[in-house]
Amino acid sequence: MEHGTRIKEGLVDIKGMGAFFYIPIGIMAVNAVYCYLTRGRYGVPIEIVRESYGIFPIICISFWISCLFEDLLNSEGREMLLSMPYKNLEYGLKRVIRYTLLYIIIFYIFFALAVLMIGRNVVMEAQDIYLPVLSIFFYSAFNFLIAVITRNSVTVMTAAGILSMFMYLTRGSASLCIYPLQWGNPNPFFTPYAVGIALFTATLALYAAAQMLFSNRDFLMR
Amino acid sequence: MDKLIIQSVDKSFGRIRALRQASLEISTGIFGLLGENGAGKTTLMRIIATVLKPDAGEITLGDIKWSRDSHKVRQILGYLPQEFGAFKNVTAEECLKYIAQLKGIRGSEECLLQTERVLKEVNLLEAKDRKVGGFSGGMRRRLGIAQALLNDPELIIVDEPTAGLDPAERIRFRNLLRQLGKNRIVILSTHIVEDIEATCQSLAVIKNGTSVQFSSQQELSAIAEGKVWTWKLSNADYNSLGKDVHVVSSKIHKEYVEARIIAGVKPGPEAEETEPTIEEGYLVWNMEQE
Repeated sequence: MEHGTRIKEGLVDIKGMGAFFYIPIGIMAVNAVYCYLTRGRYGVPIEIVRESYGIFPIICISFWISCLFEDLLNSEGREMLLSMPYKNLEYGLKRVIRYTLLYIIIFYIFFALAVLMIGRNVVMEAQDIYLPVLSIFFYSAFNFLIAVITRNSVTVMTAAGILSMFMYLTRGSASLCIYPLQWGNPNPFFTPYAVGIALFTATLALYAAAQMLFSNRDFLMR
Repeated sequence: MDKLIIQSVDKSFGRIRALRQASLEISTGIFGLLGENGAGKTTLMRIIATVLKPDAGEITLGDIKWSRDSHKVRQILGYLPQEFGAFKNVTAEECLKYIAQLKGIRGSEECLLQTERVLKEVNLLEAKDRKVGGFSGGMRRRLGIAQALLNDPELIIVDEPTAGLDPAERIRFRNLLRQLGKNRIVILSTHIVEDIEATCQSLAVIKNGTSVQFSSQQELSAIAEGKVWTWKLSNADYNSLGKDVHVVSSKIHKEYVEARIIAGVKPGPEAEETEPTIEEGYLVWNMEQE
């Protein structure tokens, strides 16, 4: 597909998401302001950013992924779309990853803005890059799978909410280090490296399962 | 152009057998598929549209086999399902450009050309910048046909296209369908006999998942030959007609009622045998199946 046509296709996808496209961006903007207002409270400045950006902005990728397939999976028009000669990988997994990468870019723009607004020396570690990235990808994969199975955007967002609450309350102790909130609400018994490996593995498995189901049009039609 | 051959297609959903050895041969032109709700029409349409896979049987169009070449089928197919509710937040033009890309139309210029061509064909060019969510039912159906026409498909499937449309929209839609059938295969699935009468050269009837093909509308109406009567009755006589008398339609005049009746024998001394319509042929066929 041409670059120009891909951008236009993206604009249609974004328009299709409606207000849900802007909700995560709004939350990230509010968090940047929060970082500015609370900048004096923390001894270690990066902790303000981790606490602000490590929970809701990471979970909010759910809004995008649940809406991305609204037309294909949940609308009255899905039969028409299912009869199209789209390539399953292109329209499924690759599309999810494109939007997840876009989300990560926006996330780090606001992350950088928050750091600037703190106005103090902010010392970052490697985990401040790879943990949020892996966590966002984890939620992206999880939501993709739930979207394909349930074909209901409300259920997708609810499932993400329930998972997050469970993870937050247990601090990942019941999920074998698969803990996407480690960056914002760390479990002291986990190392960032171990959580990173666990998230990476789980994400791959979730993406594979989701794409496999997505490629089965009979299943999507049920 | 090659014929579309549907051979012994079966499909079940759990214990419900939606299609039983359905077989049809469809040539260029508009082909009608008539049947009541739940007969299996939509299931067959979905199988032809590659949205569902049959449990058994095969569909071919020349060298193309549905079981082997589903991607190729989708490239030559245009499908308008019963419901077209996708892309409510975008304009008609954006919707069609998006679908054009899904259909593999390359290049933004080609996309634009095709989009404008199909919008013009369905008389929606002036509404191209309006959001799809704000369209009336008739406009949405026309947009549905527009997307089905993108990439100039050889095979178009239209499922219950006029259900819910007002009479003016229905006539407009039928005229559009007639134009489409000139050099491609168009399959029109409907329970509205008037749609078949107005547009189809040949047809099939489907009941309980089984199909019976007719080469022309006359072949179907001929089933009711000798069984359709017009009868002028007084209001009192009309109201006292027994339940065993099958009244197809009635026209109320000042002093009498003119009824069209299906009956194996002359229902009364003043009844006159009359030429059956497709609807009556279909009703008689239906009764005979039961």
